[in-house]
Amino acid sequence: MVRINQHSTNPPRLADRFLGWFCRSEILEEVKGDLHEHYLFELEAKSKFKSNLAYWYHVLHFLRPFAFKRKTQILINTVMFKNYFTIALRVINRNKFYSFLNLSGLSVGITCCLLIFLYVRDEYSFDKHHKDYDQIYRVVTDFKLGDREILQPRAPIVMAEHLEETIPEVEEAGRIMVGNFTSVVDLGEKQVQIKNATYATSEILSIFTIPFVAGNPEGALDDPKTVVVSESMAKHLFPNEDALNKIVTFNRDAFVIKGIYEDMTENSHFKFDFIMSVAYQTSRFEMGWMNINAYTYLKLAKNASRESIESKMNQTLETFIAPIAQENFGVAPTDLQTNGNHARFYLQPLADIHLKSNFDGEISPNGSIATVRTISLIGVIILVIACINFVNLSTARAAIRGKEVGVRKVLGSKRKQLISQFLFESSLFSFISFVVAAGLVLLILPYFNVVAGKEITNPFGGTPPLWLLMVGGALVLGVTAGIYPAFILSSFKPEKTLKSQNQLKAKGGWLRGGLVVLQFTISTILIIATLVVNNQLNFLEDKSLGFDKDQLITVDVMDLGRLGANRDVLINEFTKSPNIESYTMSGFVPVGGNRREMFLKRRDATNIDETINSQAWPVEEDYIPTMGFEMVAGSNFNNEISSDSAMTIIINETAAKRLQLAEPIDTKLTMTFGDQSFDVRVIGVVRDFHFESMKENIKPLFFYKSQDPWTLSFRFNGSAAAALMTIQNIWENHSGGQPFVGSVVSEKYKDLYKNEGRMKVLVNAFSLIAIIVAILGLFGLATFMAEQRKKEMGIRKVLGASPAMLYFNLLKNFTVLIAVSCLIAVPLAFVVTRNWLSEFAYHINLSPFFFIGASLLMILMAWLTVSYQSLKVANRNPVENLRYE
Amino acid sequence: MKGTQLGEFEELVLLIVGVLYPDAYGLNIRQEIHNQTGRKVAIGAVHSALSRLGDKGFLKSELADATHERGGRRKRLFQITASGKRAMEKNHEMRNSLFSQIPDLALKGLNYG
Repeated sequence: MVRINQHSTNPPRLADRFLGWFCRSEILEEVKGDLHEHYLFELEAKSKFKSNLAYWYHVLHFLRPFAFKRKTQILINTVMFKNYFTIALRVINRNKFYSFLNLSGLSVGITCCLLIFLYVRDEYSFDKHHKDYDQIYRVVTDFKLGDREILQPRAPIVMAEHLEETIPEVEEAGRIMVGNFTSVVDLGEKQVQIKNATYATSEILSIFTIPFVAGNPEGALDDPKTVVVSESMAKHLFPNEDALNKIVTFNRDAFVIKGIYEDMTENSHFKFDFIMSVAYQTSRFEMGWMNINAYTYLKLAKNASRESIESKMNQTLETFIAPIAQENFGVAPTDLQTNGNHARFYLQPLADIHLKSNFDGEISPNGSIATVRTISLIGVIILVIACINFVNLSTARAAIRGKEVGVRKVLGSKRKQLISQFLFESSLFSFISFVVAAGLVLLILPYFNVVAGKEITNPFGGTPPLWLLMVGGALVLGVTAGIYPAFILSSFKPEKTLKSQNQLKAKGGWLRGGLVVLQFTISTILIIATLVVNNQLNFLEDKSLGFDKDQLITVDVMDLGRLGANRDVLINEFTKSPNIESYTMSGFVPVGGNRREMFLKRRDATNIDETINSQAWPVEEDYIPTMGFEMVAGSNFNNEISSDSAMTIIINETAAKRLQLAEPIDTKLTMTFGDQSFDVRVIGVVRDFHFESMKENIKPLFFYKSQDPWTLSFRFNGSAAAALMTIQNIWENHSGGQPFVGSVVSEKYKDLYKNEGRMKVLVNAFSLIAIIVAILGLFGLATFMAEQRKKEMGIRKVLGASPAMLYFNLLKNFTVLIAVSCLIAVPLAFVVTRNWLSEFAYHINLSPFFFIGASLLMILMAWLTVSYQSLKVANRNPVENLRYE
Repeated sequence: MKGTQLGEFEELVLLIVGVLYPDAYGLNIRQEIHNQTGRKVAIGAVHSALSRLGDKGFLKSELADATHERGGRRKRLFQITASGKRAMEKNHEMRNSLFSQIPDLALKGLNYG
């Protein structure tokens, strides 16, 4: 009983421990006494828990300067640091070669990391310059209604106004139409090209931070024939004049320049130089809920929750979308969210658009989070390899430092002090490397900007400033890389180190080997991965698309009604032009446009499996020759009206295969669209071609003849610029005043794969550097080992070993290490690369060549690296090797 | 040399040390403050004030013998030094003198606010 009682009257142990940790020992006894006495006193009146709490309260109240331990060592430390500094400089000086290897490896590694950091930070900075960017959202449409799928970053044209009126949390809503196009304007007699043009509402100018240098953004785009331009566009249009309130003629209409804004930054998911009023376009579009064509941006109130607005948005919208879904797709209002259908709008935060959004129909191609992650990973790998170099070289040289440690210990150094000395040294190294790296970054940055497609100008600024991160990084790196050598070196027993160096060699040998294996495992994986990625990307580039993308121009039609009357004249003019070989109209071209999906069914179908969902492209007769598709069987559409009443279609190989048609020509099929069905007859089969990303399998597809062409395609000869000019002139004269939105298909493709190309260059370069840094480390280690075994080699030689034997003896160790690395790396790399490749529908096979080749390359490089030193030692006169003592 | 001014709380502690003579130590000073003024302060605050008073030379202290209730730990007993006594007297005189110089009107005037 007494025991238990005594036990339960002890105050919390942790609090006591804490008190003992910070409180100075001179007053600890009386303080503890008072606290305990008080605790006993409390226990009589209160519960154990409350008394404990009170105890903690009083302990924490002793966190006052008077109670703290006095630091009496500060004075000595500053003196010692001076000494550490001197010693460190002497060490660097004495072993210039090692120091150079160590510093250059670290510096190169840090330089890469800094560049990668700048790249990644830049990618993440997109669209964050807009004030209150976290309150700005874009509306994304996600429909699956019957056989029609719509997933795109645009919303119905009436959405913006509707939301602003009905949802109070929506502070502002604006829309951008048509995306980003190139056209021409008239200035009196002169025609001037304009780039990055678009249509927008006035709200866009206030939702986003677009500072005006002249004019007033407020309501600037309210009137139909108004435009605001960027500073550089103003200079381009009116080189020596003030552009404000000047008139430019676009599409035969006179537009007033209502404002001039600062050029938009590259770090934005859009960059416009010429923004016309959307009101100008209003008459051209049907203002309905099914016209999903407006990039719609919202600015929400400060504390508005995104989810609640999304649900409000979707609630109200079902009333509008449901009738249209019924009418167009035969989806009953009750089925809107069931039976495989869904219809919803959601909000995409502005800051996510650049890295995390990759829909069809983005305003401009976005970055990819995968690239950013890959590059970051490589950055970390480079740093790890550089750190391993540092650890290896430092521990390897432990033997040399052993004597120093012995002497210091004999003279009274504590282990703690030795550790802090070595940490100081490694931090010094790391600081020097950071300084060198900063210089290298400044030197390389202009080239890096070109390769990475960036415009980074102030590398060390930013929030938080990079230089501050670098100081922190230098400390962390110094301690991380130095902690193991510091512990090894400081653990030496003075009596042994001063007598002989025997114990030192064994120490850390295993770890050193392990680290080398780790380094080369990573390097080998990198080599294999780089080989596979490059081969795959080349394969995609070279793989035939199934159509001829060169010498092709497309023009988007905005308004079919206006085109109608002049259609024959236009066609006539086009066919007369010498540099246009052929011309066609279609609903979709492989780079973009409008498309729909329909069901195709065999007339003799016995089960549901024989119905396929297929893309349906409305085309004209000349589409197939103009695009350069290859007919496998049957014939193209002809102008004559077919003998029977059935519509004729041309299918692709995949569709034929999926419908299990052995003899596709003249097969009768049923085409279903919404609740309508048509009888169709197959008259031809076209060879499969890629119309989506290479990551996807080719889908079933058929062409049907139709008169609703939204895209004109031209195959031209000669230069693209000349052809574009010809087409544009004809267009301006006969299109009924529609804007000219033309583009060269091969350039669109290049744009489509621009980011991939950049990523390839960056990944290759950084992988190469990682491997070089690893080799550098191996070289240093080899040099050191050769030096260590000098005496042994001398004795072996005296006893009759040939230089070749000595050479192989030295090589053996490293070969084993590298071989082990390769054995570990190959299966890992196999798994990683296979996973990556499986994302592509069309990919190369993983041939053993990648793995064997990379392993051999690694071993060869290691041999070359080690050979230099080994040969030197093996060939030296044994007298020299033995005399050094 | 540290300032030899007496803070308000310091003066209170100094007075209490006098009141509790000869048994003044941290915990019973805290208790006495509570009894006399109703103020509840942390033990640490008392120790801190005692340490400051010691630094200023107003208190001297020595460790007493161990007692049972403190787990055998000794307590530090405090006494007022001569200069501590002088400082208290000075404060006391100054206050009296200042108070006597306040014109009656000012004190009366306080009533109609």
